[in-house]
Amino acid sequence: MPKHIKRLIFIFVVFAILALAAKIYFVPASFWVYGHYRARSVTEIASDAPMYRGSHYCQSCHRQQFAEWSAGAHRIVTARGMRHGVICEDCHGPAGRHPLLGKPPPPRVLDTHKAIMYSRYNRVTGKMRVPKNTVALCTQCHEKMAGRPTVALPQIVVATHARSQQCAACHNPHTPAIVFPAVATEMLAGSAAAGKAQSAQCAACHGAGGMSLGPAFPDLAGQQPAYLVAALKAYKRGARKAPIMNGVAAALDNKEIANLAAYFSGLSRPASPAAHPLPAALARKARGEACGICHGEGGISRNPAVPSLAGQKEAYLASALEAYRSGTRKEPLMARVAGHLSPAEIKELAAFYSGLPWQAGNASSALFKVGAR
Amino acid sequence: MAVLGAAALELFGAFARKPAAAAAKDGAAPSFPTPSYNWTKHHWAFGVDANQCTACLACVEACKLENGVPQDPHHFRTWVERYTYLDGEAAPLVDSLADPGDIEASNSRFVEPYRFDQRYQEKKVETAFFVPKLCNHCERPPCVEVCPVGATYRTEDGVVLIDQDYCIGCRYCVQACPYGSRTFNEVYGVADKCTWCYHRITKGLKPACVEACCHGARVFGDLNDPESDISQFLRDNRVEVLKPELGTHPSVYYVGIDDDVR
Repeated sequence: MPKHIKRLIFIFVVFAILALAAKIYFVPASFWVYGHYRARSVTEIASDAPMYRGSHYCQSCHRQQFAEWSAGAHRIVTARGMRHGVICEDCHGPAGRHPLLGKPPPPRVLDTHKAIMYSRYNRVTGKMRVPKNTVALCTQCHEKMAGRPTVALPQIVVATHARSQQCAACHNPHTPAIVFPAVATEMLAGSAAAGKAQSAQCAACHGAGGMSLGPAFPDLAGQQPAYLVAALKAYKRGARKAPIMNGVAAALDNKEIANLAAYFSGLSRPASPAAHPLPAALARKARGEACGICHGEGGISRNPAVPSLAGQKEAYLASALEAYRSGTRKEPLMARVAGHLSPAEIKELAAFYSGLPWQAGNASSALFKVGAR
Repeated sequence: MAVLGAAALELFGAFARKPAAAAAKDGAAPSFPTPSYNWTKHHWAFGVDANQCTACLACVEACKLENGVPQDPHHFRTWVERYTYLDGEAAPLVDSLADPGDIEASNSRFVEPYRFDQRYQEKKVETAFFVPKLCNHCERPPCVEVCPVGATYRTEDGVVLIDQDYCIGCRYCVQACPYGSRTFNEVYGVADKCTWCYHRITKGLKPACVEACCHGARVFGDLNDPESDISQFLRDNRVEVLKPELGTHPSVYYVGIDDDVR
């Protein structure tokens, strides 16, 4: 064999060995096991730890919140058993390993991304997010917008629905629906004349003209009729507790309750005592937002099921708010509102509303429009 | 000569590895990719019901937090598009989360959740709907065909994945995807895409976007199980896929969209 051919073969062999060595060295072990890719990477990706754990993961500790949520409209189970709805982590952020180490599992390769990926999640303390700005959160779904399905999804215009009030002031986000006291149908059949005849026993405390004789007894004159019906029925059932009223209401039947409501709601009231100014911040809150939305801006309710507050007895208002706050008087919406108030604010609010002027003829003029919500 | 012989043997071994592995897949190795999950037993598919979508974008948020996707409004593994037909106009107006108006409405790019703006509030809208979009996990994925290094592939259970440790960042796949489903992660210099939360579905969980969806607009399940959510979804609805003319055979089935959605 000529020398130059031997050299050529030698160079070819050396090149082949080098190429083979490079291939063995550079191609990962699991490449081509299942195809033109690294089979090991499938296992790596499958081994990542999940961040979203589902609502049942939260249930093990937060039983009460889970129970509230399960009963509410934010949980949906279809006829075919498909579960969806607003899960805990939609609002509170992913649980990750929440209670244990307080840190979500680290990402597999994207280490330098931590600052970006968890910017909405507190990695240091591991506490879950408790949304403060519920307007921004709830309007993600409930803001009226072209294209949103309207079936089973209440949609609002924030400016007219709640002004600048936060959603959580009235709604419990876990069970968001607010059930207003139902407007009693018997109310319409109530006879004021018959009610007047029955009202003699009321006069001992609430006054002959519906203007009460003591600071602890509320005025009834001009009060919203459906509210009076609901209150008497609550006393009758024992849901609202006051020894005298429980006894009185127990003796009344539904017809008599309707008559009394018709009588007292139709009475007019004398002028109120002097106005009591509120601290500016509290006044804004009370008039425009928290109280005013239901009880009317001037304390004159436009909803037959919601009582007017203007000119009401100060001590009665204060004790009512205190009862809502402590839970002795049960009304979910008022419990939420009163829960935000300090004793000093309750005092101020009671004085404020008792000092508001009564506007005659305003009591039951406007019907409550459910559709306006 | 001995060296040559060893090299030849090694060369043969390198080519012979594939059939050996295939044999192992059938018998010896019972479960891949994890001990508790066998990918030959599943065939995943995804359903989107655009009629139900309210564009709350909980899915987008969940996807980003679950998978470590950058929070800015230009990197999405899944996103939502809005199609709006104004009164008397034939063509829809389409906008998505990267639209300047929608970025503005989201207030801050990193702190507040994403949201659509109210640009059509004053206008007369004939009809409008939202379309959640994500990787279609095609049966014949163009992105896999163009990858020069084998960093992306389709698994046996029907999921298109990226091996981000192996990706060289050439972005061919980003261009090749006809659905715009791939993004490029500039921080790492690798391509990024929806995995149907492969780390979740292999543990029996639903993908994060499906878990987070408040309204049942996203459906996920195993086609091998006739009672799974997706099997019911496909039985109950007349579904369509995006760009069927391309022959990519997507595995994401849509309900409630029209021809303008592509």
